[in-house]
Amino acid sequence: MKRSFVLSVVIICFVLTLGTFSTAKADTVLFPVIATNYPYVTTIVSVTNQGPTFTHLNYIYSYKPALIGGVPNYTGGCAVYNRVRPTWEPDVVSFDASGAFNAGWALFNDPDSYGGPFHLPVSGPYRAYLLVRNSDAAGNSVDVGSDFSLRGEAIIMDIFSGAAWGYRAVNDTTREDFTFDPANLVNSVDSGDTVRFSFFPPNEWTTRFFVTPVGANMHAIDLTSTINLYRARPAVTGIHGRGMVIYTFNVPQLVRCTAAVDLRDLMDATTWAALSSTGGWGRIGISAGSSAYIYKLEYVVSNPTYGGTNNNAYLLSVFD
Amino acid sequence: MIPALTQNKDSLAVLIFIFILLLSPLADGKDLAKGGPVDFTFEPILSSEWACYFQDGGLYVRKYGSAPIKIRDSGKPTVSLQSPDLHAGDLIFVTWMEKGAQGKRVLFKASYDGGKTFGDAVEISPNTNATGIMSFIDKNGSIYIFEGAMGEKVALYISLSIDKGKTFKRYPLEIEGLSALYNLSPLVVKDALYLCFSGIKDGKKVIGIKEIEINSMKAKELKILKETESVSFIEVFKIKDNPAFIYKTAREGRFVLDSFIKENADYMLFPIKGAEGLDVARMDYYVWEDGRVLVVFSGEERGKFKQRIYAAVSEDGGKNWDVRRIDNKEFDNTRSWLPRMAVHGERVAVVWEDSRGIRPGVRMKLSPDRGRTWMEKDIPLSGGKNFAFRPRISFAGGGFHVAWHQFRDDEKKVADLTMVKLNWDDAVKRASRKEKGSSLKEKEALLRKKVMAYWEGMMKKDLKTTYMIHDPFYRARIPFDYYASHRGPMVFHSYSIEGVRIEGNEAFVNLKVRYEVPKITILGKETSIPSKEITAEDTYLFIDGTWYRKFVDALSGGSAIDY
Repeated sequence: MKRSFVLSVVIICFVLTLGTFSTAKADTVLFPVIATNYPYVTTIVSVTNQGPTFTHLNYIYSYKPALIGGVPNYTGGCAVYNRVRPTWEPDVVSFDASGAFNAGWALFNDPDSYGGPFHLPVSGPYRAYLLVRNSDAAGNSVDVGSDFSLRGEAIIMDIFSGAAWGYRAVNDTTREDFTFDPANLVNSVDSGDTVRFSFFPPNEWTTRFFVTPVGANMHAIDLTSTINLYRARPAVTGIHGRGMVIYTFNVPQLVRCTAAVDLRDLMDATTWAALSSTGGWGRIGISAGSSAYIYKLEYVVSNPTYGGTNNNAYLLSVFD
Repeated sequence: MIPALTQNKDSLAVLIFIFILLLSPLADGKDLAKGGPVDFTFEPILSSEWACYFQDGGLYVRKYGSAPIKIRDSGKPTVSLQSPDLHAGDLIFVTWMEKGAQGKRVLFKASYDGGKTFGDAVEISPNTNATGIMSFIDKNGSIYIFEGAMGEKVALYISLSIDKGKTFKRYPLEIEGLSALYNLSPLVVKDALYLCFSGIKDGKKVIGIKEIEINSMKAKELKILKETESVSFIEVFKIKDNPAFIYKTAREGRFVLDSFIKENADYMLFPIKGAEGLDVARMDYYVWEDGRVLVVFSGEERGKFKQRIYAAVSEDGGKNWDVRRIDNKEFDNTRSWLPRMAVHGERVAVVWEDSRGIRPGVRMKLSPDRGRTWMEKDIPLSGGKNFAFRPRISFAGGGFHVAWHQFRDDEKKVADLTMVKLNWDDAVKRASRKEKGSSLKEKEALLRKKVMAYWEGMMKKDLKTTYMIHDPFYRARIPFDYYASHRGPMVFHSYSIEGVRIEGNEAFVNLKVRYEVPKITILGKETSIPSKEITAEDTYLFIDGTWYRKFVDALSGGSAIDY
């Protein structure tokens, strides 16, 4: 009786967490946000392999500089960097994608020998997404016929000040390749969808959206999404201030591969000047291109009013 | 005392100097009228010699050189005062909204004795859905107060007083056929009220105008002028008794400023060529009786340059425009924005918020001939050590009045209202003076010295030195003890300056730095980072005559100052 109750709770929790979708194969996981700024900022990645599995995992980074000439790099394409490392069933491996810790080798006294590091060998600020897939020793993809093989978690952190945020890796539970079909994903924002959000006064807080387009062949193709701010459904561009004030503008931003888009770059200067001391709310959505995962970050730097530096982020949900 | 002093030429010279200093506008801040702390989230409102602002939850007005007058106290913590407006002329009046649990109401208060006393508050609307109000007075002395709620749930009212605010009559207004209304901007020309607006009609974004006969308050005509992209703002004015307006929108993905001017019965579209592609934050305007129009605005091109100050002149009633920059191009990497303008005859004074000194200040530019020519130099009004922002300007009583908000220190938490008056001749003199500054060579030498001092300090763990080299905005927030206790476990062994690049008062320093982390605990586990050389780019800011290292948060890229 007790066992049955526990099992029911587990199933309910699972459904609440992941939503209800078909349970087919799924052993490629997507980490939509990898942020590195060696040696200050790292992303600690953990991959769990419950099995079935094959001999190795293929780690594929699609990456690009966060800035070009001091300007945020929203539209630049990504380069691809591959690593193949052994795996076992069951297994967990954690590593620092920036390579600052343990030179990118497995962390936390892992007794297994992976034969090399896992990190993206770049320094300075970079943005990336990471695909992890079952493979052979040469990195050739291998289907293992399970929807529970791989899972993942990531923490993005400033290793010196301690600020951090994290997320769970994404699965398309209907396939094993490098395609993430939005129809099978939970909380990806589709073209035409808008998601409500609020923001604090921009003269104190920074609000930023990590956007990673998702779709077919993500290991090889730079997908694009155009994001906009909206003030109402259906797509009416603009935003709300506090005190029921409305601002109208249309400032789309194209994101190629992945990017962290500053709220400032989604508004016109008129609105920015008006809202700098108050903040407001609105909707963010995709006006063209691929579906995307959108994480909202907000942080305040060294402000004693808020206890110092604060950093917070979460995945925006399409469930209004 | 004075006869005695006249016997001593040196002493007399000192006295005259002090006397001039005291009279000279802005000299050491002696003639700055300050008061506060004010609610700096509301820009100061300036009309003639009077400013209007919020302080301690109350609404105040203040004449330059006089004590503040409380217009309204919110009375309860649950009641807030919003959307204030002020008009000062023969009649001085203030309008505002009060929002509480019972809803919102619109109030009016006037002074009929030049601001010595104000009468009781008059309730214009006991319950309104408006999100904002605006008021003005026409040349006949009629007072108009607009209440508006924009968006899909539109509510529009106008209250009209023809007896100087003693009584008002409130009329509902309607703009038919729109599913959403934005940017409503009213204008009175002769006996007609014009409502310029943007909105959504049949699913399309449009811009239009509605004409209402004031005597009967009956609509004369509603014109949808153009299908357009989103409109950010509309500024209305009249040119030789013809209604006109300028609005900001976008065309083919680029921002534009367009204007409509009524000619005979039609409205003609005249784009302001030269403003294409500029994301204009704000504009101000003046129209002379002969139809000459002067517009000042700030605009930017993303990724190319930050907000800069422009003037656009039309000699032919708004049909053709000559657009030019009027600020200093040396500081394109910092922000100059939100200009306001005042005019006296041919003389024009423009003020704006300027971050060339990294810490924003108020600067002024003069034109003696209606914007045909501009004096070469602009004038620093607020002083480099004061964090001053959101200026307004007016002309009254033979002088230009400027009001702005000013933070008490670089922590940027508490601000005062600052007011200043200066006459044209003084302003011209100030514009002719050379500003103190350093040459590029001097700046680079100072920069290298400061960079070396910082990294020598980092290697020696001389945290007092490295702390003091951080920018003052960071230090205003973070006390030394906190800084020292959060330095992290990095041990620096060597550094080399690979290159420096100075742009205005911002510099970028490329470095090679060798460091190690002997011990660090991450996620509960002890680890280390071996000795390694990295390349880095630090930003330095030239503030108060010296360089400071800009604090940049590694995770977010954020800092304590935006310029």
